[in-house]
Amino acid sequence: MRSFKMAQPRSLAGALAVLGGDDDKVRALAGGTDLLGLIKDRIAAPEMLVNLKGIDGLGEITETARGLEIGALVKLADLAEDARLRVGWPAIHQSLLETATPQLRNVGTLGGNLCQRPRCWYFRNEHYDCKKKGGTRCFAHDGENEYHAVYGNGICCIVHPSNLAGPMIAQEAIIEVAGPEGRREVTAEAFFTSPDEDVLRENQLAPGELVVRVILPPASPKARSVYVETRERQSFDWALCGVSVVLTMADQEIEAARVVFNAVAPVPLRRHDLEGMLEGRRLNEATVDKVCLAAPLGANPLEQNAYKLTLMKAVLRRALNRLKESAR
Amino acid sequence: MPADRDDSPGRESNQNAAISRRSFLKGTGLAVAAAGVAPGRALAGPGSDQEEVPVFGPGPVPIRFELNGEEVRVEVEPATTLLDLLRDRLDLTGSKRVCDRGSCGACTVQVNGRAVASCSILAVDVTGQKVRTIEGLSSAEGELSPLQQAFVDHDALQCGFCTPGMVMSCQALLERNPKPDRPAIAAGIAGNICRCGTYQNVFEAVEQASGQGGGK
Ligand SMILES: Cc1cc2nc3c(=O)[nH]c(=O)nc-3n(C[C@H](O)[C@H](O)[C@H](O)COP(=O)(O)OP(=O)(O)OC[C@H]3O[C@@H](n4cnc5c(N)ncnc54)[C@H](O)[C@@H]3O)c2cc1C
Ligand code: FES
Ligand code: FES
Repeated sequence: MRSFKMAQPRSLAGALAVLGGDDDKVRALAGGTDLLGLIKDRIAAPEMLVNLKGIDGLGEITETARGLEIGALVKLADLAEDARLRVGWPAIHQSLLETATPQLRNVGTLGGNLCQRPRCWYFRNEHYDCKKKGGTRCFAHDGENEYHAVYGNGICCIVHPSNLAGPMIAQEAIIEVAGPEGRREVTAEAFFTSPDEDVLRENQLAPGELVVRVILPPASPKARSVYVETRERQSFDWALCGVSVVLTMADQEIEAARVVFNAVAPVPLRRHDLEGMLEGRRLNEATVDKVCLAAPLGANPLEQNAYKLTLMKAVLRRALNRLKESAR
Repeated sequence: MPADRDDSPGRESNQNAAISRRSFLKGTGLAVAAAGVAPGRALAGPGSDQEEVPVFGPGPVPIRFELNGEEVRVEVEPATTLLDLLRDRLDLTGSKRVCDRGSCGACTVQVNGRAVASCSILAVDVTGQKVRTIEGLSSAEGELSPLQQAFVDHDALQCGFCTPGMVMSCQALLERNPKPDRPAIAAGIAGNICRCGTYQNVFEAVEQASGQGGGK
């Protein structure tokens, strides 16, 4: 691996001071499970890493009046074992169990998961000067694109790699960001950004900014949530298509719905149209049939990935059926 | 979990240590003062507005950790992975390098009891931690551990290349869940790929080692 210096701040202020703002030269290091791969593959060549692991106060999960507050440095394995998360935010919990491998969850962090770079094989190959690396072409568009986006793929066809991103949006998470200018909060939905906003990045963090915390507002006692994904292998694998569904029930009727697909677009794909179809209806077979049929509406598949349209219907059906059964 | 302050890489509490963190920093002249950043903001923790952020590398930096029960002190570049250190410097070649990207599990070791892909963490990040490799499972006399013996009894290996990592994942699993059922074993070894397809035998070996039948 290309060599680099390492800064070891003890405080957030120290980390922000050394980060500076030149992403190419100085990068934050959390667990390193994504960043080290990028450096080995010569996609990133930072001169210095800023090790976030020594910073006090970013590794805790606390319950406050605002909900569950999860520090950016909390390891995925620890988060997956948190009973409060399992009970209160099941879609996020379930997506964690399907994230990467035990070895990687023992090291990888929440902040790193949300800020990981895409897995597109052209992006990850140093010999392809693709748009995401500042070049002029998206090689996946007319190339090998079986794992790529079926929505929003006009500029760049990546799918957002994070399992957690979709359920975070479905469960209305708030992401707290710190930078040289101070702190700000942004909804998970606004955090992830599409290639037409800036093809060089996948979220709205400015260079030198850090995710410090994720806040999960308390879910309504009437809400039920679920995460379902499909993949090629039974053991760990990237999702081919996943969906998070949150339904707020009033008696037998769906009062409010949130439906967010992952692995089908460069950002998690929230589907207001499907949500509208669910709201005000009973969660029965007829509703499930109707909504699932509409799941791939608006998709624009590439040469090798039209199968994802079928998967969208399938994961949504499984998700709604699970919620239907748990409602009994 | 934030690393203990005294465990930070490059720091030596031993007065006789050749290089203390401070002198190392003076040597490189790279410490960055964080003072004056974000004045008046809620960013700075108590006392941290005066923080001098230590910077070390890219050259070797002293680290210290526990490896298979013994203390190790070495100097490593920050860009050295734990797997590089184990195999290339410490001559512990049981942990295998296959993908070097966290996706196969052949390099699995335990850090503080947990299974970790040693190719995907930095050696400086195990400062002050307890690392166990496949070499640390058998007794000093070379007697196999019950888990290793169960792998032998159940032919849970063919070419053997995935085996050290597979055994370490199973070891970590058993320490957290002494009686795993099949789904728990499958989840425990989900990050270990065996192209020879020994999974069935691995299930049986883990069941034997955990006293749940599977015996031969
Ligand atoms: C084989 C393999 C399979 C995987 N499968 C899945 C999967 O199925 N689903 C899934 O979701 N993920 C998967 N992953 C990705 C894995 O979840 C991430 O690598 C991990 O979560 C990253 O966390 P980290 O702490 O190691 O991040 P790092 O590697 O340390 O950092 C990743 C990036 O985020 C930046 N960063 C880190 N922390 C912060 C912060 N607090 N604020 C701002 N920027 C930050 C870093 O600068 C870097 O650019 C897989 C990875 C591998 C190698
Ligand atoms: S060599 Fe580390 S996971 Fe493959
Ligand atoms: S025994 Fe050959 S790879 Fe597992």
